Amino acid sequence: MRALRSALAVVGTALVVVLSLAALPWLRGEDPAVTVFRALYAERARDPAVVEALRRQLDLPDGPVAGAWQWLTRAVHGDLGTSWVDRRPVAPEVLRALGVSAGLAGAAVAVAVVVAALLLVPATARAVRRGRPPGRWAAGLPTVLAAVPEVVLGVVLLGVAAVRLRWFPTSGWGTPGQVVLPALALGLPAGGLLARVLGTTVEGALAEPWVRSARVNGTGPAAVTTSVLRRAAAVAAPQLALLGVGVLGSAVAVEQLFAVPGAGRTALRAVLSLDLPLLQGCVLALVLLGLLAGLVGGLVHRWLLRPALGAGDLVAPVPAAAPRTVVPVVAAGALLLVVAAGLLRGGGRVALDERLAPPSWSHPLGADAVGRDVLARFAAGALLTVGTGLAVTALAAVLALLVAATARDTRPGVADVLNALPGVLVGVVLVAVTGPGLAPAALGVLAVAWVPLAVHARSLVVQGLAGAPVRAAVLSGAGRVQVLRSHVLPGVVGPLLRHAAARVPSASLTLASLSFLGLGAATDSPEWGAMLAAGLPYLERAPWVAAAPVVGLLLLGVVAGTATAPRRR
Amino acid sequence: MIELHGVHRAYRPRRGVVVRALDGVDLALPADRHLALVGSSGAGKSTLLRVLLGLEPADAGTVHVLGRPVVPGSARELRWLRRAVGVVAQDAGSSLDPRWPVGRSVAEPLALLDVPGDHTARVRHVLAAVGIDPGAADRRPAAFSGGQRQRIALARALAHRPALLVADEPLSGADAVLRARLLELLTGSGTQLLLVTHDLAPAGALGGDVAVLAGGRVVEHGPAADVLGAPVAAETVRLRDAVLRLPA
Repeated sequence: MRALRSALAVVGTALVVVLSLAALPWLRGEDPAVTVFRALYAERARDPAVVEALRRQLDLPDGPVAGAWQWLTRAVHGDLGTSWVDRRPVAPEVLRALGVSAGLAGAAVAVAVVVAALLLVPATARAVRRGRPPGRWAAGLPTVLAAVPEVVLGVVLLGVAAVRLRWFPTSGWGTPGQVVLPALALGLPAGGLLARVLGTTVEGALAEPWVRSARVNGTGPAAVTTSVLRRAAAVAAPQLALLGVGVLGSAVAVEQLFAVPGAGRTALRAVLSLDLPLLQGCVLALVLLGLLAGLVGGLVHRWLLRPALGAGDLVAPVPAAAPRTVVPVVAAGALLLVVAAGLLRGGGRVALDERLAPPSWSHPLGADAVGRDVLARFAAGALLTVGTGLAVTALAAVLALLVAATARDTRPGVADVLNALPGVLVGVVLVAVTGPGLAPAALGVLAVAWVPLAVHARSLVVQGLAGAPVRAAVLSGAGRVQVLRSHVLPGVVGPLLRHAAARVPSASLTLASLSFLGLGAATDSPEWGAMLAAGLPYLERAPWVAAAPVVGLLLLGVVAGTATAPRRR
Repeated sequence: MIELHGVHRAYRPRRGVVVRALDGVDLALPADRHLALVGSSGAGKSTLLRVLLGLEPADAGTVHVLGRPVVPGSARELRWLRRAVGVVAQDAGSSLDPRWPVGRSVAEPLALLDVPGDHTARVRHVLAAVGIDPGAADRRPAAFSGGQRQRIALARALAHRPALLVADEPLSGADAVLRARLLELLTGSGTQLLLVTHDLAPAGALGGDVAVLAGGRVVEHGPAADVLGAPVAAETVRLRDAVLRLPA
């Protein structure tokens, strides 16, 4: 029954996604033949005869239903149509690009796992040896690392390791040297995020009674550490699969930066040249890859937790009290002060004689490429960036909690299908339909931002449902809703909010990536992503232009990561 | 009070493996006698409890409590059963939610089952009855010792005045003093008891009937004095001899 429900949810969601993908050329609300005409001849006056000729040449069906049907029937046979731009078959191109992206994502996940292990294993071993929760730095370092924007890290690596030190090639794909920098740019922040999610679970596991009993019974620290990490890995297994997909998504900007010919860069090229068949092919390939990753994660999770889930003998997640620090207050205060100072300065005027002026008394953070005060723009962009990122993440957390509350087990559901749709990519597709803008970009981010939160929350809910207090409540007449409300969700909200907070910068950054790629906020907007993009060409000559949004997003990440410690109980 | 007829329950933990946890259990418990259900590990005690409490279905046979058939269902459908039966779980201490003040945990069944009357007063009363200072009701489980937590869990199971109290291994893991205290609290609660245990020692102290479970069947059932004094089934003899072999 449950297996059937799960299967129906997966098939239904996949069907909706695939159908809207199949009908993509019609979702713009205009005749695809006209779209092709514009793609080929840009602004030239529309010639009906040429449009009709294009329709015949490309064999374009009459409506979205016929079009979706044709695309689907051909896709089943491995034919993804022909490119609207160069008239070549799409499938081989997609396959090649997907191979590149999978290679990059694999390398990045490997980096992430190594980084997370380096951050967590010593801290956990020390905590087990001392019998105390891990220190504050154990949570702080992953937070900071997770908040580093991939694009910025990529640019720094590019500037330092490739341009200045000449250790690695600046661009391209194929040699091992070309893999290193993009993999690091993607893997380091992902490793920080992984360590953060795992760290929360490690803290919870360390507070469980069996850890103390094992220690007192003389079990060696190494064995206890292994058990604690195994327990954490069980909860985080679905996360690891998600991480790979997330990496596929943030890879678009990094692939663009290092000129790696992967699926992300191909999709971006497709959307910019309105080559919708190519876009359809890339998205389909990534959907299938993501679905596979989600299934694997769910299976690993079930496999690791299975004995405990069966017997219902898991201890309820104990809320772990995080050490109180002044870090978030200081960081938020600093950010607020700078923003307030910037807001007081009013709007930045264009002053071409002050182009790229370095920081001085009149321009404390320097001036940008047209001589506008960076501080003033930074402040104006703060409201836009933080506001949008926060709103998107808050909505995503609510959505995730609602979805997780309906979970009975960790069988794949709606969320696992949507895993396959990284934020940047959904944004790219939405923009292909609506045209660029902050609102479609934010919608694209929201459409996927709830998914990792939902998967995490679902693991916690299933664990909580297996706990002793829940069994006692059921035997006292509690129904599912009451059990969830009183015993399960209180243990979920804390970690979920911390996870969500850790994702505010990443939501802001996905938006920023879209702006960076020219698909989100207008290039001239003070939105930090757009500002960052505008500053990147001057990273060597005038680093202060990009430094302001970089520091801003970093501070935001620190605040979000450290300010949401669960209340001490 | 309780009637089980020909109850079967089998598990298939892996393909091709069938575990017959209950293999035709017949058991009747009149409304005025305590019952100690004794059996070694794997005899089917836990499965019997789960079927009796409507947590899982019987493959065959019938289960009645207070004359009503027990069939797994929603919380609403099983409300009458929850009202009739209080349960002290095997891991009683950890069944208290670590986030809640213990008073709230004790009051939980009262709220869930819409028990009329002053809940706060009732919580104070039952806590005092198990020897816990009612003034400590606002503390969390971590503030209590293991033995105290077990007694609080007992208070919780008794809070809504059930007709039958089911206690699953309530004495395991308790020291001799606590065992005596818990047994005294259980028998003095004024509630009919179904005590599930793996050794015969508490069965005699209960002073009611004893039913011995082995291999998913009830192999012996009768007044405690008879069963302990002149056991018939091989399993009962084994369990009794195990008690006798213990150093005094």
